[in-house]
Amino acid sequence: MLLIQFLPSQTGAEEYKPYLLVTVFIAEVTFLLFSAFSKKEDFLRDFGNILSVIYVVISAWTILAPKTQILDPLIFPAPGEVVWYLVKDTSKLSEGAVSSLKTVFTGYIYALLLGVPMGVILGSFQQVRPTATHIVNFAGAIPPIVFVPYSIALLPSFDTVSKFIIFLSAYWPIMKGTIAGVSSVEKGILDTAKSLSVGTVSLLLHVIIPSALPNIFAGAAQGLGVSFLMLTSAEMIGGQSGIGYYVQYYAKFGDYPRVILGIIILGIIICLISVLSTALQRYFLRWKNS
Amino acid sequence: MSKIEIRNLSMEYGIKNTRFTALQSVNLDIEKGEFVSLLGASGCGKSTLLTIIDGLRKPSGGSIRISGQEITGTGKDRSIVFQNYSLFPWMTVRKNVAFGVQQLRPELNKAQRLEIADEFVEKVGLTEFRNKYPLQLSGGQQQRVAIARALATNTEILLMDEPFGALDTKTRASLQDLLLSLWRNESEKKTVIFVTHDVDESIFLSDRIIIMQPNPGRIYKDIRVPFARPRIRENLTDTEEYRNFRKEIVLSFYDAEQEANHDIQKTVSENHAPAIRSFAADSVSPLANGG
Repeated sequence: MLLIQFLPSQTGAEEYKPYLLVTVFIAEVTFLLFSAFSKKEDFLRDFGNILSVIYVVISAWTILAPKTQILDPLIFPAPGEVVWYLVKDTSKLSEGAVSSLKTVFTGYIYALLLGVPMGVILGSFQQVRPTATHIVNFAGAIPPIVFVPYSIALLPSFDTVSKFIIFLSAYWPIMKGTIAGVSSVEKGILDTAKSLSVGTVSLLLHVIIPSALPNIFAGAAQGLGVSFLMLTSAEMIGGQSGIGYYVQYYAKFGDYPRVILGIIILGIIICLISVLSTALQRYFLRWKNS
Repeated sequence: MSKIEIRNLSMEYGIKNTRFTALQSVNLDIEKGEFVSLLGASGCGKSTLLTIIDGLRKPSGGSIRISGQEITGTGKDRSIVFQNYSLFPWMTVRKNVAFGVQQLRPELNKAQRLEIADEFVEKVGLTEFRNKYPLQLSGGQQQRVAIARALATNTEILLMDEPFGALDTKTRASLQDLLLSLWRNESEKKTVIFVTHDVDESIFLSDRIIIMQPNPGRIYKDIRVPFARPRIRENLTDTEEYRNFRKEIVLSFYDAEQEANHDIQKTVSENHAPAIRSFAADSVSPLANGG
């Protein structure tokens, strides 16, 4: 921790120094607040460790780029400068983030709304299941990005193209997971349900879908990962908004602090979404982890 | 008229060359309120017979009548407890029991279902676990829940497929006691068919033991258990009568298998039969000593 305290004084680009100092200060205060009020030792330890790693990276960066100029300071700007742009571009960034999230969730929710029911239907009928599995394996193996040129010709705006590509990339893993889940319900469970004379609708809602839920979640998580990959790619290829567009746009002008900022923000957003999805999964599958 | 009448029942799997006869001309009458064990080594078709009675499988031939009505599938008059997978892991203990009640007694409303669920969860001693999920419970506790659900559904017939087969000796004994006391205390005693390969279990629990033999699966002997109820494990297993009766059952159990294998391995069975028989009759399982 000592290292952290005197580190900012080494910052080369003096005008941006306060920004980094303030950031470190906020991080420290947050950490101290957490240690004061949270009793989860694992969490605190991880938090502390991650903070240390970040400090080490920033220190190395500061020493190599602005301080000694071993690395080109144009491409590797002072960390404080990145923070300065965060303050300056807050509204632009949040607009970009909202636009990115809107795009990704529109595509993703359509994929869920279609993929799960289709998976349940195809997985429930033994006659069509093998065919469905082959088709899913084939279609799911094609990298969705390859559909971009065709979708541009087909769809009215690039925004719809992005959403469609995200839909495609999430749809196949979700449907595949659902088919796998629905078709692998334990025979004993089905026998028990049958013995209790459970009706078709009830069987689906209370037995088959809950039983398939772990597989559905696995497919949904995989789909979410690919969705973000495709989102960023789409934004960088031809988007007019979003974080990927922000990065691509400023890279053209060689505005590297903003490029770095965009990359970091994107990383944070994806991290938060994945934390959220893990939390959802833990809640809905709470019967599984005992 | 008996409660359950099984006539000339047969069950075959596979086609032509791979045909396997799981059950052959099974005839059996079970009276209302009777506790009957199906005892036999693996492959004798006892579980198959049970699932056919439940209506989960359709027999290849013959018929089953319950209260005079021929069965065509599962019904609201029967409930079954398996060795595993009887419970839905995504439902809490309470929900599992209430769900069973909801399916088989649709005339009840939600409050009544939950009340009955709580009542039976209490009867099996799991009230403090009622909001837990099955995977958070031990195997013995899970089977308690399965029994609670089977009884809560209030079916006239209770089918049990080696329900205690995966439990340790002590838990097994305590669940046998629990099952008997619940069964005896019902105002209208349920008809129970209990599949097991444990001789002591079958004697302790049943009024009648049906010994089955394999290749093809069929009934070998139908023996009435002569001991009065209530049976106290320690007192019962300590008597001369019990030891003699147990010997009789064990010998039949092994003879059933010997005879079935006779055609296939004539010499082998003759050479080893005496050794197996004396071993079987002398060995006393921990249960016979009082668990």
